[in-house]
Amino acid sequence: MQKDHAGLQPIVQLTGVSKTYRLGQTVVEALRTVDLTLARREFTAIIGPSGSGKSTLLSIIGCIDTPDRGRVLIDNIDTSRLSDNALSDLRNEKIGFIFQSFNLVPVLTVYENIELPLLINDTIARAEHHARIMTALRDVGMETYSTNLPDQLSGGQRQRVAIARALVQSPTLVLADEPTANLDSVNTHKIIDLMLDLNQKIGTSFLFSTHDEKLIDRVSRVIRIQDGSIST
Amino acid sequence: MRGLFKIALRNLMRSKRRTAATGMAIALGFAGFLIIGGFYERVARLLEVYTVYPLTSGHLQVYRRDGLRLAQITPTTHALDGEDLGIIKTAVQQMENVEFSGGRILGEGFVSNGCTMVPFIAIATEPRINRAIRDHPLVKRWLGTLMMVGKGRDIAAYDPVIGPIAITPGMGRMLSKDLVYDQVPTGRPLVPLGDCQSPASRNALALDANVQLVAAAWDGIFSTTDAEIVTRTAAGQTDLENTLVVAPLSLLQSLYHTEGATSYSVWLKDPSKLKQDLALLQGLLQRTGRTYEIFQWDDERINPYYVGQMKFMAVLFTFLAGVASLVIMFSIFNSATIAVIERTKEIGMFRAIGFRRAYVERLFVVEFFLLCLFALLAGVLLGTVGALIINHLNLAYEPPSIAVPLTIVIVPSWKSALAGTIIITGATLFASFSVARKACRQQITHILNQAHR
Repeated sequence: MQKDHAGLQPIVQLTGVSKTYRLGQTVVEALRTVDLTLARREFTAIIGPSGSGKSTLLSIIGCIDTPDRGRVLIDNIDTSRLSDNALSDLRNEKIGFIFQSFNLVPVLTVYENIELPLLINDTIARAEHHARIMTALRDVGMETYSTNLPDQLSGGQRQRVAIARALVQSPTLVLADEPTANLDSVNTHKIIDLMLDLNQKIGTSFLFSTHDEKLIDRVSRVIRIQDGSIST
Repeated sequence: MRGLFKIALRNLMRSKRRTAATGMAIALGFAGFLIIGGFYERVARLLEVYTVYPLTSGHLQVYRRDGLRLAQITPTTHALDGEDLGIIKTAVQQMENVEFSGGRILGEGFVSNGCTMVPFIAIATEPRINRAIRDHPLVKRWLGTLMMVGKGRDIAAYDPVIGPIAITPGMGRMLSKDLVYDQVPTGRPLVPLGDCQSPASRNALALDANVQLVAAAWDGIFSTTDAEIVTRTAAGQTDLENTLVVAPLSLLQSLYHTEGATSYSVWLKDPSKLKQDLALLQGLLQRTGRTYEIFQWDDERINPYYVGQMKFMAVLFTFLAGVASLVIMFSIFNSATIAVIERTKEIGMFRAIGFRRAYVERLFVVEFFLLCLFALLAGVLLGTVGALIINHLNLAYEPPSIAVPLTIVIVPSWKSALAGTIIITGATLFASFSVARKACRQQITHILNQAHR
């Protein structure tokens, strides 16, 4: 079994992963035989231009899409053998998602939005929910906004709430698809700082996509992707 | 399920106008269900009570073997004789659930005023049964003024010796008999009719309530007897409007030269035990060694009019209920489809963070179930108000083959309310589940990408 540089089993292993999309008459090769290993506690950025395959790679690692060929192991679990329900459970327990457009439920408060992943997680006792939500809120500096609705928050604050929601069930991996694309430069740096801080503080692996080259020096590892192939 | 109801309730409040419009469609549909169902209940109960009581069908009817088919054609061999009546009466006396019972003659013949002769169909039972039927709470409740005696008193109030009969208003007109027995001054001498075509004769006919019943007796001999019109009776059905005569059993027994009857009717205290009582009576009569046939009141063979009317009503009600359900289902489909389109991004997010398909589907189903629940409550309110208004307006109509106008009365019916609740809730669950299922079956990335477009 492959081990990472710290001697631990890697959190993500992709072997020969390919993915093709059909857009009308055109066949788009989004990923071409990609091999990739992500170590635990890594803070990794996937960088590439639009249409390079960043989102597809994240989707396949996040088990919300399936490869046409190749094998995906998340925390040493072969995802190709899992049912839809088992994949849902895996996502809930091991993976946190941060979306470009935040994807908060507008009718729920900040507190209730963060609580969402816990509602379906039977492994975490209900008595523990409040403490976890409050910890997540404190971690992202939003403890005073718990009763606010998402439309009462700024873009940066909404993304903080989305990060808290991704972290509340203590996943081993957080995936973020262009988390700063909808933010200004000040908020972009604040969010990256926050993610980096959480990575170091709680040890969760972060993998996020961006096309902002200025963020390269902030991450521990950079994966460059071009035309569906990892170039570096 | 934790959190489901909270999210569902909040989502309902998210699009207040759409929620209100969909809820109103469901509420109006359900109110329509209640009102149509209430009207169906009224007509069904009216026809049931009319058939069982005034038509003296009873809940159970006993015939000699093949008597239903042949009693009026060959009464000597297929009608009940005096001994049969005694045997059946003894058997019926052993049944606890019997309210009253007795022989019944359904006969034909002619009624004459001395100048004109018109055919009649006569129904005869014992006067005590006529009285029990007239005073029965179900008759008063469901038939009300329909069976009210217009002139004179009920035939049960007169000595059978005078031959008291009740005729329909139509027959009264045909016989030129406007007066009833109580309106004729006592001691007035009979006026000779003379030439029936003369105006004097027509005036003379109207001066008394006396008629003659003429028929072929069961023994084949031509028979006639005098009778006094003591009151009017409502025929109920148009085909009986000019022909119905209600008479005491003894009068028709005298006319037909018999001590027997066409059949024996049994009225039950609790009609819900009809099946048990039918079996019990069959057992009791089997032990007598004679062969009888027993029919339930709602058997098409003895009451084809009732069964035909109810089938027609059932088809009509089912059609209207079906249309209402379809309208409601399309409203839910429409509303659920818009909700799913609006919340595609949310569905993708829910699935991405680990919500199983079934859970996301449930989110929508619960949301529309709650909407349906509130709308049903509003529908009860609307239906009640609608029924009160309709009942207050005293609207009358003449249904096909009914001789008298009926007032439209909406009677609360738990059966139609239950049927409406089940159908509407079922339609809501089906529509919301179908729409949510279709959305949730898509690839998660596809859902998220759709939302971004």
